[in-house]
Amino acid sequence: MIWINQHRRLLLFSAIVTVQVLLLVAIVAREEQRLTGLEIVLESRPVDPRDPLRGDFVILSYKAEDLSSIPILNHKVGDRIYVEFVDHGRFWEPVSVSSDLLHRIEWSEGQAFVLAYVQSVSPLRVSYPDLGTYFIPLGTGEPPKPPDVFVSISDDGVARIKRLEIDGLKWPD
Amino acid sequence: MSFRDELEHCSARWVEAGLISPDQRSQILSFEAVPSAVQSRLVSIFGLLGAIFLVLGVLLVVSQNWGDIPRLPKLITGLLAMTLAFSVGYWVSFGRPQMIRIGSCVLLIGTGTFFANLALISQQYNIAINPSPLMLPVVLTAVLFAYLLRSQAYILLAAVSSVFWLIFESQNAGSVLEARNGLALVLVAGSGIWLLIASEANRRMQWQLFIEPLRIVGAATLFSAIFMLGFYRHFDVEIGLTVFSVITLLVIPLFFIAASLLTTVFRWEVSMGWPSITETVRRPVVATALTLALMLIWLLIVAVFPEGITDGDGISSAITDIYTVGFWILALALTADLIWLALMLRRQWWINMAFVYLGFFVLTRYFDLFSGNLQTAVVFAGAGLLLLTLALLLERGRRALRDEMVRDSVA
Repeated sequence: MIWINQHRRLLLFSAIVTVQVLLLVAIVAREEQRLTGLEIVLESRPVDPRDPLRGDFVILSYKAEDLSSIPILNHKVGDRIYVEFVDHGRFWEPVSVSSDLLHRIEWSEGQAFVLAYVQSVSPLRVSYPDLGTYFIPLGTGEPPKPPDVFVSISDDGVARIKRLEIDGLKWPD
Repeated sequence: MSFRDELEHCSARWVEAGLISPDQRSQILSFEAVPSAVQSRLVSIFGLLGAIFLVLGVLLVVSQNWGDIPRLPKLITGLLAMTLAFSVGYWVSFGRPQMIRIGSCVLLIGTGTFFANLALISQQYNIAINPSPLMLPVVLTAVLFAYLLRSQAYILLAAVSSVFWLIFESQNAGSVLEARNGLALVLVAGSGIWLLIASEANRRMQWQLFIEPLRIVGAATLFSAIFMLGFYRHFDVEIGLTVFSVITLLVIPLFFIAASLLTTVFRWEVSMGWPSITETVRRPVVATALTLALMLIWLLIVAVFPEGITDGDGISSAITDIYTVGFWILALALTADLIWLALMLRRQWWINMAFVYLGFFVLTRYFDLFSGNLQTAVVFAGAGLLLLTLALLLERGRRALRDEMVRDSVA
C-alpha cells in the first residue's frame, strides 16, 4: 500500500501509456479481423493526391455509389443503410438496399451486404465509409488504368480495401 | 509576478527578518540572475524544437509508406518506439537524472509517436481520411498527461490540438459537430472562449502553471476566428450548425461568461472561493466579460440564422453585411479590452500583440473595401471620429488635472 502511494504518479503514467498501447493494438486487431471477411471485387475510377500525414493515396469512386436504378425506401440524406451486392462474374454489383443487416449466416452464396451512407435521395447515391481512399508508397504515381478493388466485408457489413489489381496483377507491385 | 521579481521581494523580507545577510541576498540574486534564466529558457526552446522536428521526421517516414515491409513489423516497430520514448521521458524527468525540461520533450516525442502510430494504422488499413479520429486520442491523453505530470508543454499541446481537432471534426460529414462553408469558424470562436474559461478555472484551482498557456491559445484562437468571420459577407452558407454544436460551443460558454460577469460586477468572487480581483482591474475585466457575452450572443444569432432573414430568393445580402459589421465591431471592442487589461496588469507584450492585430485588421479591412460596399468606408470614418473624440476627452481631462495642480501650488 505504501509502495502504491509512493509510486502513484508512475502507476497512473504507466496506466495511460498502457491504455494508448492497448488502443493501438485493439484497432490493429479489429482491422486485421475485418480483412479476413468475405472478399468482393468492385470497379473503380481513381485520381491521386497526397496526404501530409500518410503520403500518397488514390481516391476511388465506384459505379456502385450510383443506385438510381434501385427503388427508394423511406431514406433521407445521412441515413445508414446496407447495400446488397451479388456476384456478377468479374465484379460484384448492387441490387437492393435495406435499413437492417441480415445476420451473416443468412447470406447466401454470392451475396454480401455493405454498410453505406445516403448522399442524395433522388437519384439515390451512397458513399461507402473508408472505401474512398487507398494509400500507396510515395512517388508511385497514378494507376495506368482503373484498378479492380478487392474488398473484405466483415460480419457487421463494414468494408475494408484489401488490395488493388490491374489486369490480374497487384498494384502497386 | 516572475520568479525573479518574487525572489527579489522575498529575499528582501528574509534580510529584514534576519534569516540571511545582505551579502547572501546579493549572492542568491546573482546566482539566479539573467544568464541562468536565459539558459533555462534556451533548454526549453531547443528541447521543444528538437522534439517537434523529430516528430515531423517520424511522420514523414510514415507517409513514405514502405510498401516492401509487411504491415505487422511496421506496427510493432511503431509501438516499441512509442513505449521507449515514454519510458525514457519519464525516467529522465522523475528518475535519477531529474531533468524535467528534457524529460518533457522526450515525453512529447512519445505522444508524437502515438499520433504517428495512429496515422500508420490508418494508412495500412486505408481508414479515415479525415484526421479528426487520429487527433482525438492525442487531445485526451495530452490533457491527462498535463495534469498528471504538471506539464506546461502538454497543456499547450492539448489546447492547440483540441482546436485543430474541432476544425477537422467540423468537416466530417455526419458528425454532430459538422459545419461547412466557413461556419466552422463560429465553433472555433466558441472553442477559444472555452479555453479562456478553462484558464480561469485553473486560476480557481490554483493551477497557476496552466493559466497562461490556456489564455494565450484561447485568445489567439478567438481573435483569429473573429478576424476571419469579419469576411462573413463573402461566405456561401447553405447549411446551418447542428443543435449539439450550438449548445456545447456557444450556449454553455455564454452561461459561464454571464455568471463570471455577474460575479465580477457584484464582487461575489471571494465569497464564492475565487481569487480576489483588485479594483483597478475590475472594470477592464467587466468590460472584457461583457464583450465576450455580446460576442457569444452575436455568434448564436449567426448560428441560428446563418443566412439571415431570406426574402425567399436565397441569402439576404443586407443581413450578411450586418453580420460582417458586427464581427468588425466586436473585434475592435475585444482589442480595446485587451489593451485596457494589459495596461492595468502591466503586460507590455499583450499591448504589442493587440497593435499587431489592429495592423492586420486595418490592412485587410481596407482592402476589403474594394469589394464595393460603402459600409467599410463608414466603419473606418466612424472609428476614426470615435478615436479622435476619445483622445480629445483624455487630453481635456489631462489639461484640467494639470491646471488644478498649478492652482494648488500657487495657493
